[in-house]
Amino acid sequence: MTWTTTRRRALILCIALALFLLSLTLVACASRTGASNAGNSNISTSSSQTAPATGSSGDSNSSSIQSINQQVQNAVQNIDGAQNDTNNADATATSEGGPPQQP
Amino acid sequence: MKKFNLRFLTKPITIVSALGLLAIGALLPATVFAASSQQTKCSATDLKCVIAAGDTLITNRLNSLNTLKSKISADLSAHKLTSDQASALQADVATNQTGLSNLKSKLDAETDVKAARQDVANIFLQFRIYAVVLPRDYRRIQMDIEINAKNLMQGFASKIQEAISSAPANEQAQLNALFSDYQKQVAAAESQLDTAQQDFPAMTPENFNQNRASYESTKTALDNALKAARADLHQAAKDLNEMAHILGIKK
Repeated sequence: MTWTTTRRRALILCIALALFLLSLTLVACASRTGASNAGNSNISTSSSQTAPATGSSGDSNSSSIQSINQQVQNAVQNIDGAQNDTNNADATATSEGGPPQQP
Repeated sequence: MKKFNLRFLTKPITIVSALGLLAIGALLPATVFAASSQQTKCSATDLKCVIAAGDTLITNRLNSLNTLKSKISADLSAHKLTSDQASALQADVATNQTGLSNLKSKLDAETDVKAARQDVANIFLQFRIYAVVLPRDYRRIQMDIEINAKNLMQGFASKIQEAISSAPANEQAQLNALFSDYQKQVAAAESQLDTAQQDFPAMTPENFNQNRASYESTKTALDNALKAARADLHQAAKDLNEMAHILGIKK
């Protein structure tokens, strides 16, 4: 294998790795910020439920409280998702804030 | 000297770049493109142009209302909204969709450019989908979800108290302090949400057009109430999380 070939392969690997890392970073950033979309697609991604727990009477207090806690944490996450949707709706509101636009 | 040829790099770079671009594309908010489709300038007498531009404005708004409609249905299916809450929101969406569709029919049938321009102005003046309806309805969803979270937390109070009472004596003081704060935060959220509910009736296109200062001040008050309720509920959830942690530690 010549020196040039080795260099070429190393260069390809470096570029591929850099782009892959960039993609991963962007995806990670998006999931951290809720990855909510805007404008014509204001749907938040959280799908957790807020229905109250109906834990059986046989549940221990400890496991019952863990289940309650999980439901409450999901419920507050839902609020954050809804807040994102509100922010997105506000972002498009500026396009209509002034007097009517005429073609 | 040997020539350094980069052609062999084309294929792998194209593939990896395409993957990277796909990831970036998926992350770009739709708002980046939302406002760019507007404003074709039509000549004073070009009726067809005015109608086409008006139709585009209406279609964009109908699409956004459809997105809101899907969002409400998804939240209903996920039990984030109750059926009453979802029905009220869907009714508002339907009213606006019908109104815009009627306006589109009227616009499409116009033979006078002045009348067509008035129809286009009415897309803004009568509906204010982006300025009023969507911000208001998404806030309504947010408020409903906050109300449901608050109700959930209130509903769990007796179970939490029961769990605390059967905890070891040396944990009771800390647990009771946390529970007391939990209840205080939930009550504070309830009060904020009561305030928020009173602000919605004033959020109308009419108020936006005729009394903008009052409209903006109502919107700010609503935002402050929703924000405060959200903070209270987060704090209550944090208290509960701490209680669950203490109660979950095996002795």
